[in-house]
Amino acid sequence: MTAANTRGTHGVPAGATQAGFHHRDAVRLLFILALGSEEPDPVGEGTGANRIFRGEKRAMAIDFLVRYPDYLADELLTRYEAEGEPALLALVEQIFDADEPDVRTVKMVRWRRGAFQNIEQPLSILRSYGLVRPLKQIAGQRRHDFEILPPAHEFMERAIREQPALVWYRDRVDLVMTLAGFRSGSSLKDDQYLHPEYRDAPHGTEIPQIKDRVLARLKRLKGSL
Amino acid sequence: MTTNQATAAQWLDAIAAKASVPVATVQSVLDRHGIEPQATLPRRRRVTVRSVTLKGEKMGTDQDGPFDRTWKFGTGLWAVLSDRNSRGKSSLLNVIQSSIRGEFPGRIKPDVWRWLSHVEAEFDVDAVAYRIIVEKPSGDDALETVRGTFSRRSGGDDWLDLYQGPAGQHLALAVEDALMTELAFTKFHAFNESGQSTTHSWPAISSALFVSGPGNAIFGEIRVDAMPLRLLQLFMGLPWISTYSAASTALKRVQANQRERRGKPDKATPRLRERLDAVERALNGARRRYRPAVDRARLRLDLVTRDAELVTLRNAVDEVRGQAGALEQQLTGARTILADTRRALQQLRDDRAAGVVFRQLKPVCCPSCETGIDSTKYQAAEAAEVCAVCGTRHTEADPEEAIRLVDLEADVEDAAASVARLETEVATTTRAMRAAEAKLADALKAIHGIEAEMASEGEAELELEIRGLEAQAEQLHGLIAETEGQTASDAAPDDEKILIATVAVTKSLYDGLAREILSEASQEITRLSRLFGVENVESMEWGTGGALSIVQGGTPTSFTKLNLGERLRVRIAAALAIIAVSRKRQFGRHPGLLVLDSPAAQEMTGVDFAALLASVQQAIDQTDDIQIIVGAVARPELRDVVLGGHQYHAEGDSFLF
Repeated sequence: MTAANTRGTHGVPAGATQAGFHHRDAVRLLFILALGSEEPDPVGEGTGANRIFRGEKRAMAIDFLVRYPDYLADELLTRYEAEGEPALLALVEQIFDADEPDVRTVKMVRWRRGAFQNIEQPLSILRSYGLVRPLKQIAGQRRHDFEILPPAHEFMERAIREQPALVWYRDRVDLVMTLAGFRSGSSLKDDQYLHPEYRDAPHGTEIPQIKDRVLARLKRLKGSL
Repeated sequence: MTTNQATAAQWLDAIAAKASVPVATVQSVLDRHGIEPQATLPRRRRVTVRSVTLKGEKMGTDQDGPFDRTWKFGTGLWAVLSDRNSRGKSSLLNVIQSSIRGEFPGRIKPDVWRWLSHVEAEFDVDAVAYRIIVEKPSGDDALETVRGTFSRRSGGDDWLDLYQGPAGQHLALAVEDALMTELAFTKFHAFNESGQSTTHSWPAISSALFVSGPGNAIFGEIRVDAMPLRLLQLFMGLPWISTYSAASTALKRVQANQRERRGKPDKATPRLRERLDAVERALNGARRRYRPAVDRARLRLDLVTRDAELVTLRNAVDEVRGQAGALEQQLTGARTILADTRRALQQLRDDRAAGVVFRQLKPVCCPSCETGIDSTKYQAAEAAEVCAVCGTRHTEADPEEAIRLVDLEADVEDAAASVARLETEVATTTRAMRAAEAKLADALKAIHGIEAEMASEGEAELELEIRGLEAQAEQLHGLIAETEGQTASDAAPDDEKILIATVAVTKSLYDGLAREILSEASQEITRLSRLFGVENVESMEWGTGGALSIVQGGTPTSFTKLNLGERLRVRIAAALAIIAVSRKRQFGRHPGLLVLDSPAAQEMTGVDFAALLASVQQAIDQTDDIQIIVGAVARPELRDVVLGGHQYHAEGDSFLF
């Protein structure tokens, strides 16, 4: 190994470890907010025409499934068991064939109220570039909403065109949206608690991967074809 | 010819010379009668009791209830003590005797035998462990309900059952066969005047290891057939004994037949024919029982070699297993590192890509306070080549980042190579491990095969018996032919002459030595008997006829004429004397086990008892790996002699079990 020893355990630049991969996080958040947004209410917040993403909790739940390909695969298998659609099995196989649980997992920490990641940094990047605007809370509402500003759409298209590596994020958020849809954050969170590894992770520790269990489940389901 | 160093060839030459016949003739006669030269002795083997377990339920006593106790023993002096009499000491020692002999209930008292439901004893013959288990319903003493298992340890916790079934004669035979083979004793044949032969085997031999009372014979249980003397000779390990025994037996047989022939001629033929019929019937019976001989000596040697190999094979398996385990761990670690490194690379790439596109944008407001940024600020900043937001001078894209990326890519390659290399190593080592395990399994299988073969009924005796009977039949044919006027076959050699010569030559080989040893034994028994308190003993001489001539108080007497107390002391003296003398002579073959029950029973004084114990201790000190188990009422003298950890003491009123 070359300079790994001088750089920390995984060859990650020490500076990056402390600062995080904020631009990458910002891209991921943007795709989530944009692809999960909906038409605004005729009456109410926002500047009228811009799409709104409703619920920070919901954003966190979708983010969890983007960041943990193995938990996503498990949800897909559950849906497969319910609907029997073979394309779902194929999707799960692709996830494992591409080693996504090894390569694409970005761990989240389990706090008292579940997996949580402070989104201030990526959000401030999106805000400062005029792509997303957090909406002020209206009295009586406990939910955080986000307004998707017009430059966001063009930015996303250009990003994908110029940096094809970033396509993965859009496609992945699309996939998660097929599962999460517009279900509430609480409902999505409840599903997460069904996994004992998630539920029993001590607070303040990273949520563990469930790759082996899901792989075994995949084999079983494939075998019963 | 020196007494104990004659070879088989020298023996044959001597016989041939004495009988004035060619060596080849001698050889063929001896073969026919099953007489084999035994010039050298197998080395001494040690029997050691390791543990005894008794389980059952007491009934009909003041302290009824279940019991389950195990006593462990080792080499050296061990004491089974109680403060009172009748506390179970003798029962425990009787169980040991029953176990060694495979005879249940043996000497175990009927009431104790009824209580027992499970008797288990383990004993070693050198390094080979044997185990006998006898089970029956507690409260029952019907022999049909008793089941016995006799096993030999085949490694670790595995036992090979040599016998499993009713605990009767067959169990005893299984034990006999195993132990006679292990100790390399051959059965004695005794052939008395009326033509009957009796065989003495393990029960007779092992009885000499237990002294529990005044007894009928100085050594062992049987007084006839000069048993004590023969046992003495057996334990002394004189060479040529069994050869002599076989030769004199064959001679007596032949002479009995000759006498028949020399009797009234008109009666001779029918009587000879009768005898021939009897012999041929016996021969057919024996032949039917006969299966190809098991070459025990070769098998035993094979077993020893393979046992040694087993240790090597086991070590090899352990070693490669350890290697495989360590490699597996390394592989798991390497795989984790690979995944982590790949993940880091992906994240770095993605962040770089995201950064590039973001940096093409111009911030529209302060990230912190949403204050808008004036477009004129941008124009000014561009001109000055500084950042419009924070004023830092523009620099080229950080080349360091590109290098980090390249380095990380190289790290991924290295990690992947590590994983690949370890996967190969794990596969190779796993293959090696399977091969080593297979070799071990094969070796174990081979050993089990040999053990099974050895456990089968011994054919050695049967073979000799058949040969002996064949010789008789042939001789009888010849005699009948003579009396009927037909010309005697000139092919029949004079068996009697050769056998006489054989007996004489063989006897002379060990006679001198035997006399010396007997003399030593006699002296030692005398010394010890006096020491143990037998009064007024002037001399004790063991004659070659087998009787012990004692002169006590000026009067000649014999063993059976001594009083009970004296007999017990003399028996103990004899047991210790054998051990002492057989140690001095290099070929001692005493199994190194002695169980003395209540040696002080017959009113032995404290002084005498202390002397007895001192002799016992001396025997232990001077002879290696010997085991002496003494059952006695606890006395202070014992405490000085027996090591703390080597005693079981039922204190006060309590029972041993």
